[in-house]
Order: sequence, then C-alpha cells, then structure tokens
Amino acid sequence: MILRTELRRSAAPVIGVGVLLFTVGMLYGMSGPWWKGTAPWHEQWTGLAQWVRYLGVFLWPLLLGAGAWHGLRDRRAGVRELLSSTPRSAWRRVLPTAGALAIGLAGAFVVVLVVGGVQVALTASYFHVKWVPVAAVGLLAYLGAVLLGAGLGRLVPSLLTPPVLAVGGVAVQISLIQSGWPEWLTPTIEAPEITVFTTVSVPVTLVQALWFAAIAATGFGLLAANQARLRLAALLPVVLGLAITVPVLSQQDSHVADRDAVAMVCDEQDGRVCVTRAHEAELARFAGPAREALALLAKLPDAPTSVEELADERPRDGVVAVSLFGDGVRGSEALDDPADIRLSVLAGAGTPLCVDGSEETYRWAVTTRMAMARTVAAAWFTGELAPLPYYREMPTTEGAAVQRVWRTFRALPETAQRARVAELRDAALDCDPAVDLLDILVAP
Amino acid sequence: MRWLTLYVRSRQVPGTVAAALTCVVALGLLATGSGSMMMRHQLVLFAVATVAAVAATGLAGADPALDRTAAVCWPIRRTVHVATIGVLAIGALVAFQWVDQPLVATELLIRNGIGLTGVAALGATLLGGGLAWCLPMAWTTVAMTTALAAPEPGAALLTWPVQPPGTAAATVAAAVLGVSGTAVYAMFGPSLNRTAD
Repeated sequence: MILRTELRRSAAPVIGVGVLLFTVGMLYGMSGPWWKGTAPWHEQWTGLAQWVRYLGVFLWPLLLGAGAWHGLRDRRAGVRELLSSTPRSAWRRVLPTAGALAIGLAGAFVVVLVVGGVQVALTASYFHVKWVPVAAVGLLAYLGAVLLGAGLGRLVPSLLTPPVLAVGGVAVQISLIQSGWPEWLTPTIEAPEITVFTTVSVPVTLVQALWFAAIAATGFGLLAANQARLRLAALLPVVLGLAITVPVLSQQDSHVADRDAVAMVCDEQDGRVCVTRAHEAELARFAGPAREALALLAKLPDAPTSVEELADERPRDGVVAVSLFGDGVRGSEALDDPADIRLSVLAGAGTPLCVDGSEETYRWAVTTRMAMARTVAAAWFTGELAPLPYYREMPTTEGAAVQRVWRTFRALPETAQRARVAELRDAALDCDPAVDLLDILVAP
Repeated sequence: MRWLTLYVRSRQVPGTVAAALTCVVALGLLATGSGSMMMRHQLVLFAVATVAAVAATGLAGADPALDRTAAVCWPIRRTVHVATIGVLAIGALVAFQWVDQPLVATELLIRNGIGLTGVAALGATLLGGGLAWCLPMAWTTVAMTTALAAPEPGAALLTWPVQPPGTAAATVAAAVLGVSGTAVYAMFGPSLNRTAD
C-alpha cells in the first residue's frame, strides 16, 4: 500500500522514465559505436548488456543528484520533526521508498533490455547468459547511486546538495578515468573493450556487485539513520567495500576471452572457411567470396588452405585470418560487399594487420605505408589496383603514391614479384614492427 | 541597497556562489591535469553548466506565491538575476582560464554560458528553484555522452554545448535558449511548486 503510493509520489517514476528515455534516446538517436563493431547492441547479447552500461558514464552522476533531490523530501515537506516522533522505526519507513526507487530503475532497465533483446533474439546466432549478470550489475550500480544520493541528501538537506553531488559524480568519474585507479568502481565500460569475443570476467562482476551493493547499503543506512552514531555506522559498508574492491580490482583484467564466442564454425567443402560462433550467421555470406580469394592465394608458394575469422589470436600456419568488422585500426562496420570480403582476405597477401597496440602502430605515416603495401599485395592477386575496404577515403596524395608503388612493382620480373609477395607475407605474419612492408615490395 | 541585501540573503546567494566557484575550481584543476584534449574540453564546458545549474537554485525564494504578491517590478529583477548568473558562469571560467591556462575558446564559454543559463531559467520556470538544475545538467549530460561516442556529434541543435566554435546551428540554439529562457522566466517567474524551502 505504502509502496504503491511511493511508486506514484516519490522520485521513482521520474527517475525510471528518465533513465529509459535517456538510454533509448541515445541508442536510437545517434549512430554511436553501439551500432558498429563486433558486438552491436541490437545484434549480440554481449553488446546489449555492455553498451547499456557504457551509456551510463555521465548518467549515474545525474542519478546521484536525482536521489539527493528525493532525500530532501522530508525536509521540503517540513515533516522531519513529526516523523522522528513516530514509534515506527526509520528503516521500516524508508524501505518502501527504496523499493519504489528500485522498481522504477528496474522497470527502465527491463524495458531497454527487452527493446534490445527482441532485436538480438531475432538476429543473434550466439546465445548465452553471461550477459545477464553484467546487465544486472549496471542496474545495481544505478540503484546504489540513487540511494547514496538520497542518503547524502538527507544528511545535508540543502537545495545545493543535488546539483553539487551530480557535479561531484562527474568529477569522480573523470578522475577515475585519469588516475589509473580501477575504473571499475563506476558502472561504465569503455568502448574499445566491448567486443563479442570477450566478456567481463566473473571476479570483476562479483566484486562490482559487492561494491555497488555496499554503496546502496550505505545510502539506505544514511536515509534511515536519525542519530550521529547510526550515520557513522552507515558509512561502514562503503569503507569495507572500498577496502576489498580496490586491491582486488587493481589486479584483475576486466575483460577475458569468451571461449564459446570465439569457437570456430566451419564450412568444409573445398577450402575450409570458418567464422566465430558469435558470427555464425555471417558464414553463408562470407564463405563464397572467401573461397574465391583462397583460390587466388594459391599463386603463392606454400599457399594457405583455409580462411578463418580473426578473433583474438594471431593466425596459425596455413590459415588466413580475416577481421570481418574493421581491421583493428580503421573501420568497425561489417564487410558486406563480396568484393570487399575478397579484398580483405587478399590484403597483405592474406595476413591480418599487425597491430601491437603501441602508439607507433597508430601513427599516420606508419599506418599509411602499411596500408599501401597491403593494397599492392592484394592487387597482385586480382591484377588490378583497388583500395582496401576501410581505406577508401585516403587522401589523393596517398592514392597517387600507391599508384606509383604499383607501377614500380609491376615493372619487376614475374618471379621476383612472387618472391617479394611471399616475403611480405612471412614478414607480416611475424608481425615485427621494425620491418617495413613497403620496402619489401619495392626496395631495389 | 537594503532591498538588494535582503533579496541576496533570501535567495541564499553567498552559499550558492561559493558552491559554484568551488565546483569550477575542482573541475578546472581536473581539466588542467588531464592528458586528453577531449576530456579537458568536456570538463571546462561542464563547469559552465555547473555554475548555471548550481546558481539556478536561487531563482526561486522560499515561497514563490508570496513573492508574487510583492509590489515590485519582478520582470526586471528576474532578468537581472538571470543575467547575473550568465555573467558569473562565463566570468568564472574566463577567469580560471586566465589564471591557469587557456583550454577552451572564450567564444564557446560565452555561447554555453548564455545557452545554459537560459535553460536553467527555463528549468526554474517549469520545475521551480529546487529542480532547476536538472535541465541544464541533463542537457549537458546528453551532449557530453554524445561527444564521447562520436568525435563530431551530429544534431547540432540538440548537442550545441559540445559543438566546436563557429557552428552556426549551435550558436543559434544557445542564443534562442538564452533569450527565450530569460524571457519566459522574467514573465512567469519560478514555478509555484514549493520545490525550494
């Protein structure tokens, strides 16, 4: 009964609708990274759970402020003294309020997950439940933020508390990003970490759940406490949580490989073509062009015999590993056109882009030379120079340079061409950043 | 003078200004220590929103209905109050950048200062003084999240707070919001919901 009243009269409906509108509005309103990459929010369960949390980066500070607004309610209505004189214990009075806030937030979360989940269920070939705890931790974190805000609002009943808390939340979020403290103290997940091949590790999810539950407990305690001693006791969960969380989280890798997602699903008829289990639905589209490219690669001495989607490891012998969603440096859209798939397999004579994550590999000059070498190597198989997928918008100066390289390379005798492409393939597979692939092709 | 003193006290201006400036310094120092250009930008622009949001709590007194019965010309006083918040928002950040180091073009500070103050005034008119902060803060949150997701966010009319200088649509949006927010607040005053105390 009280719960029903609280559901209508507290900040719960506004907070719930706000979170829902913000999240769905963001997801549909702009073409952010959640539509691209290997785990789009509407195609993969992993992506659905993690992109929703990604969007919380500046939302939870706002929830902190909204909670504080709620915590000011008794003071606003001028009933603090009245309520403190009632025999009903404070925590029993606060419980329905906290319940209403939880229901409001959970409702918003469930609607978002259903909107995404229906679309995912229609397209995803890879079903799993590992995403559920990841999403649940996000919900728990939002609830923790609202309750902590409410508790602090009651502790410092000033009109300034809500906006100042919201600002403080943003400051905390950004200092965590900058200071190297475990970013996992906040619910957000960074964009580059969201791939379908990885999953948030179980220990991290557990510790996060503990931490956000501790925050929620402190918030609840502060909301219910009416003596200084109890307020002090209410801080205990957060202090304990911090003492456990920080040392544990600093030693944990947040994302670990999802073995089920990267398992290969293969089409074995003449020339083996495989994609990861997560992208099983792409196999039919991918197999034909990949096989054509594999036939062209037979010009090589010691030619590869199968094509696999590149997941998280370097390729094995005799296997061409191809990334279907961007090449690791540029692009994150899925390869659609058969010609693009062919070119991606042939790029660099059937080698993936060598990215070691260092600054060096992302330098414009380095990536450009690498892209030129990979383009010319692919052109040697097809017979005509064509820009690789994701490199169509190269400036014309680079276009002219690659034409020059292509002409120089074509002027070489046929056997030398073959030897140099083979050498390029070996070097690219070794992935030694000191070796310049373009020199291998055209150096005298 | 006596009226002004009483007004300033009744709207809790000293505490509000102190809180706003503390937030500006905290966010500004965070921006100075940041290695990422984008983060610096976002922090400074967020600081403008902070001043507008925090100061907007003073746009309503303890009893808006009682205020209205006063035989004073409210529209002028309200306009001056909102304009002062705008000047504070812009001035605080300009001063910080002048003392510390320039991080963001002054043009952006002025644009966002005007726009977000207007939004805050709109918030006070619609929701009352206690909730006025929601509008500028929520708007900035949306814009900042957009800027984080895409280096060049589209829909400039919506994401104007994070658009680069010289974006016509963003300037127009900020100007329209600034003027209309101030005008609406000047005409109607804070909401009669007793959100302040």
